[in-house]
Amino acid sequence: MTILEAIEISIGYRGHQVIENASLKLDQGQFVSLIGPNGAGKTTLLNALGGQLRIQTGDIQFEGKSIANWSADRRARAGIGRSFQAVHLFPNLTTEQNIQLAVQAKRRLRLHHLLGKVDQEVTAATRQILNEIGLLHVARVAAKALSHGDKRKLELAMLLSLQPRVLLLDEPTAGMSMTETPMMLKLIAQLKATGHYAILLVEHKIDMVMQLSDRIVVLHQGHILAQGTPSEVMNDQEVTNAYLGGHYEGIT
Amino acid sequence: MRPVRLAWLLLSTLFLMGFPFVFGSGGGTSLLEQIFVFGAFAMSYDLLIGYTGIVSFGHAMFFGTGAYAVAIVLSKTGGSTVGLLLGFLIAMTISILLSLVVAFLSLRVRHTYFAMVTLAVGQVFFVLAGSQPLRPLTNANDGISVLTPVWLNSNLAVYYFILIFLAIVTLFLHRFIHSPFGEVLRALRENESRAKALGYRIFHYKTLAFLLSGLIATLAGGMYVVVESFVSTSVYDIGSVSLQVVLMTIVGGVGTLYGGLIGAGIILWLQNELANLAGSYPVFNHAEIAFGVLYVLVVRFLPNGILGTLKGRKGRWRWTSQTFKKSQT
Repeated sequence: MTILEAIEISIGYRGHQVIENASLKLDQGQFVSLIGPNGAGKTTLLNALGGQLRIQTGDIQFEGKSIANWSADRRARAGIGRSFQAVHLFPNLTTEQNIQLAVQAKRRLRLHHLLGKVDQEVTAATRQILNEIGLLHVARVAAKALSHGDKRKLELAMLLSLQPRVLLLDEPTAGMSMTETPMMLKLIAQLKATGHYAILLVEHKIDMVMQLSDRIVVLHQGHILAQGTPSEVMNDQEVTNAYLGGHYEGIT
Repeated sequence: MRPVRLAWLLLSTLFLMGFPFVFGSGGGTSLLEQIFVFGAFAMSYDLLIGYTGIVSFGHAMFFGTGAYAVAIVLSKTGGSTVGLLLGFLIAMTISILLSLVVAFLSLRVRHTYFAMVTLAVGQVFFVLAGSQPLRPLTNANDGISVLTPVWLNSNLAVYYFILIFLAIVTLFLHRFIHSPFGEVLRALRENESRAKALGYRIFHYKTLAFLLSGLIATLAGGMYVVVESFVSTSVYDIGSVSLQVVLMTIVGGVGTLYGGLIGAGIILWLQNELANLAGSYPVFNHAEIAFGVLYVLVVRFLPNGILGTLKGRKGRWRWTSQTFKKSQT
């Protein structure tokens, strides 16, 4: 079942067309990777799906409903979670507060919360998530003081706290060290294995893309150049010429 | 509550409760009344600038509206208790409507434009209060002298009335900033787009902060009339009210809540001392020069304000002592 779909969308800034007539589908439980050279429009496409950018033409549908005019917060509430290329946290708040805000976002704040305390179930859920992702020991540390790997972990944990149905991950391993990257890869693989999420990943690490993806979409100069299974895409001559420098031996 | 904090709270409560008995109801007590009023006003402003990250240059529009609403109703009702209550009720209603209109017009735009819109709206109120067509209501530039209810005729009664008001405002703001709502406001200040990506309705939360901040500023304005028994267009003045409250908050410490109270204390005490000196040295007639210097010094040497700096040092001390203890074990 298709959960998120972009139908012939176009996005431009000041006369410059960044995305032109791009269409892609994301099915329930499916893992799709969006690849392409720098400047191809990958993040722009993700921004359009997440509601950070408005499309000029075409439509975006979530569970069959048009969400093109929905704001980013409404899409998040509907179940579209978005991570950013640069880590997006609340830097001066503690790790615990960051998670708590994400957990709280899913629940509605009511009048008694105006002068009240955080609900116990929110606190308990926060502690559980901290424990699960292995950040309990830095619960009281300001997010800005965490290592880059921990910041990435925290961001992903915040995203999962929203209990989304779709995950839009923008280069989740960007800036990570050689030792931190496998940890993130393992986390994402675990998310895929649950089958709960439809995941759209933007990533430059092609081996990671090959390992995880059910389908790959190749974006080049704002156009969808190709899409299909990893082997179909990697054996596409146009793709290898445009993105992989004419040669890729990782798949047969 | 930690024992040290509890001790501080008890000591300061005892000090403030006993002040008029020890020092009489003269200058010092009058100054404290003003500090309480402006302290509440500055704390309301800190909710906006320090906890939500919204800068307003027209916060006097709320303070002035509170002052005028209470003064007008009191003067029309001959200083009755019902008049006082009605005045505050009308002031609060106007404040809510005003904050909703200003929020609708400007909170969706960038923060700079919001600051400019508040400046413009604040100036409109200043002009309206002094305008001749509204003289029957506001007495134009002559201002309104007010009769307060009989039970507020003694200085002591006014002092405790304002002290109770300050205590309620402080308690309310303390609870609010530590509530889940307060946490969301801090999140907005930290990273608005992340808060949005988590699903928070940014506009709603900003409006709520603006509304509450405006409401407290309005009540502070009403209390100002109770203290002064007089109101004039100066309550809408940008320089002496809107910018002064910015200065109070910055001097005390943005995002510390109680810093506003400390800032109000310092600024009003300084203003009082300079006014006394001006009798002998006319140069001190221009208090704003001293405030300008103070602002530069604080921004340069205490960028987190007085309370912010103290809290930072305490945090560093705690971290160092904990690290030392760990290294010993």
